[in-house]
Amino acid sequence: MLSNYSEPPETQEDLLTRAESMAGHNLAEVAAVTGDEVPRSLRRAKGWVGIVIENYLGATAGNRAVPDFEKLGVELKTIPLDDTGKPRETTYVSTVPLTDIEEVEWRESPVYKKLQTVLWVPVQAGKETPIGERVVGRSLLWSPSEEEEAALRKDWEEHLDVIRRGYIDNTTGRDGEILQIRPKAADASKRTWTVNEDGNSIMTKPRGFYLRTLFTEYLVRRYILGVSDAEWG
Amino acid sequence: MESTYRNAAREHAAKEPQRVAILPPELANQIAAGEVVERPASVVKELVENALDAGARRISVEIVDGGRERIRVEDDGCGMSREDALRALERHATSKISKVDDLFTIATLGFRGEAVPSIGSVSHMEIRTKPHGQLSGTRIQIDGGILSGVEDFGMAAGTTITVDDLFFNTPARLKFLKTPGTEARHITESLMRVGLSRPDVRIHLKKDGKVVLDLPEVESLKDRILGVMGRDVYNDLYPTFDYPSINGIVCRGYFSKPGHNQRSAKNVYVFVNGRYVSDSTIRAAIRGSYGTMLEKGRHPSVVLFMDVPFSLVDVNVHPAKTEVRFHDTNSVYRAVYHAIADQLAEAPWLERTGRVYKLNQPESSKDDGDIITPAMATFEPLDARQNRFSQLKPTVNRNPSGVLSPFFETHRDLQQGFAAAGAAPLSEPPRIAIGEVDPTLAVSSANYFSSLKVIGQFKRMYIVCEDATGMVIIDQHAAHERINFERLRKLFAAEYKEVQPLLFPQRLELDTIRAQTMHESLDFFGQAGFEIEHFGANTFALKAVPAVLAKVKHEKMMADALDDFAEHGRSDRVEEAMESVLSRMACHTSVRGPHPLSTEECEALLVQMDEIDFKANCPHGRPVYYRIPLMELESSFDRR
Repeated sequence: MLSNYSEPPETQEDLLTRAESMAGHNLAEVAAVTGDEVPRSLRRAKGWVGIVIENYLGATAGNRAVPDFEKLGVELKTIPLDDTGKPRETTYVSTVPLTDIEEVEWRESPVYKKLQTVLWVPVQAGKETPIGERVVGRSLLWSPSEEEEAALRKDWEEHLDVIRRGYIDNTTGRDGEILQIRPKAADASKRTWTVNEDGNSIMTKPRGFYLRTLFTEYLVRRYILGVSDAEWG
Repeated sequence: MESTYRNAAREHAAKEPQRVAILPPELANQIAAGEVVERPASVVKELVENALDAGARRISVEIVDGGRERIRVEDDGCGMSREDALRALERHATSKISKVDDLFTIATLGFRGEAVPSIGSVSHMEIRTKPHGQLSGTRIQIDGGILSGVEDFGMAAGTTITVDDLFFNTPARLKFLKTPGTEARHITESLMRVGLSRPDVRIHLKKDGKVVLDLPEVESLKDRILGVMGRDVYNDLYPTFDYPSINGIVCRGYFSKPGHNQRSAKNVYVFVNGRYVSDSTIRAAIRGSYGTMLEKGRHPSVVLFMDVPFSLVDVNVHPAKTEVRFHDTNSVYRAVYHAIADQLAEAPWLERTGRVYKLNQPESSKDDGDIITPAMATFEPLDARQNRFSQLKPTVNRNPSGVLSPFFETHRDLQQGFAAAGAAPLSEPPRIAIGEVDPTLAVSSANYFSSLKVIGQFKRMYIVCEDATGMVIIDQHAAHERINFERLRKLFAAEYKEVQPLLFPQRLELDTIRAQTMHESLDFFGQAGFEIEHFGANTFALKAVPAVLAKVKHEKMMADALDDFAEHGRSDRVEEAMESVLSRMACHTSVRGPHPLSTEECEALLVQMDEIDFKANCPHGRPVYYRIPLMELESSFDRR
């Protein structure tokens, strides 16, 4: 049953209990507890689903570059699922560093840090379902297994290698088995500095690391539904 | 406020308050008659029950025009004195109970003292009655509830009540009566029920001058079943399992084997403490006991007698008394369920087919002439095929297709050539003498299939075998399916109680009754593998389900289960849904279509058949085997 939590969660168990209490309730019910207004459309309210869930769970980070549940070191990620249970979109992890990347190590990278411990909250996102009626699913508090971390690291290192060699503009969404690079900016005209293959500084679109839908679908199947033979490939 | 419908109660309340007055007795009786006397069959039922309570051993009923014009019930019971007969016309005058405590130990069929005055208030009724040992009897005439004549009358001991022009003064009720044929059928059905409950009483029904039912006094229930339900039903009935008493509730009787069923439930007769009842818990238990062996919408033939302690059953629910209220529906359900299901699991009909039957078996059952109760009746196996073969008429020279065949007289030359030259003539199979039983041929149902001798395979789909006295054809897919199903069922019951979480918990928005029932049933659902959370008010969230039911429509299944709980205090819906899934799995993992099997494989299949329950039917209820008795074959070849 939904509750109005006035304090941030003290422990990861507490956080998971709060997340579990949302399961089966729709966003209008959750928003009624948090006092948020349900928008008619998400076109002008991008990120509203994440915000209302953060508010309910008692996230403290706001816009700061720290984990959503700073004290617990837990990042919150919602997974919008279509009517067939498949993720509707990729999951943003962090911006792609385009300068000063020679010495960056995997364990020091924002991708590693952001994915250290994640609270995944699936939310129905069928196009025909009004926003308020979309139901929150069962949550997952996840840390990558050795195998999963190895796969993430492999993709990350390959991407970093391409950037170091100055081929960022040749990278497409098809690269990377589970971690892909895609442009990430509020508007398409934004540009940032990087280095091309000849070592010259050039302007390019800012980019972000995204988890492919195959991977988030795998997480849902493997850990929430308990499908033992689930694979991400 | 404008209303879309007329609310007579509100209109009445809006009028000036009326004075409170006691109703005149005639009007009170007519109102009571509305409940007690619904149709001519209710009159017959009430009067016949009175006759039985009066110790009658012979009851004759005559009806004219479906009972509208005349109903006459004549009995040889104890009769009444003039004083008692007149008192019986008063409402709530009865000899059957006298104090409140008696209500809880009612052993008679009637007890309200409502029937006679009610019937008298809506007809022209004549009562002739004389107690044993008195010189003259009494004749009383009542017209529309008014006593119009009392006189001495010479007659044999007993009571005869004649009801003419039923509902003559209540035209509205008369208008609702069905055709004379339909009303007569209801009367016959009512007497059939009485007949089953009292084999010791002769029941006789004459309709418009013609005898339509004549049940002579018999010693055993099974003879009465034959008389009431006919030979086809009788042949397919088996005695129930002697399950021990559950909270004092004992259930015994007969049930039909799978495959015997009909569209209506007319052949389901249940008697509680000797009283015919129609009860949803018992119906559900009967349905549950057959499970998948009974197709949807079909009903078996069942005659059940239940002994229920008086403290656990309330018969004072409705004047018609076919409704009873059980205080412990769960025990009632279990008693009925085990009595039938535990015997169905044994497939006793296999035992019957596996031995030679002695004809004209002497009767051994006795009853003491009282109402039959499970403890008193002897439930012997019925001899299913006792007279079946005498009904077979040999047919000769049949050639319906007109196809040339060496078996028909027109082809004597071919017939002569049927046996190859030099081949040994076929030896005549041993004839089985009717009236003898060879004990060595007796096969228990526990090892029936493994006792069969495999002859071969037909069309690579059927295993052809022989038992001591017949040919047995086994549907190899159905047999394999049942084996796999029973194995899966055991496996899932013991080891595979996996739970499947639902990614998006399913909201169950229930009505108030179902929500209340859900609160009371949470433990049951939890044990079955469901995770259900109360969301407040009448809303629940289904968060996880048993893995085997992951693809089932949960909302409907749970709604049905909750309704069962509300009504019967238990539900088999979850088990049924699981069995349905397992039976599909069993079907898909079984030998399908034509498939060659070696003799050893056939034998192995037969041995496995004997290791499981419900072996005579596949999980969908279809029969696994078909048996052709030798005698039937011989009759077909004019050898008998």
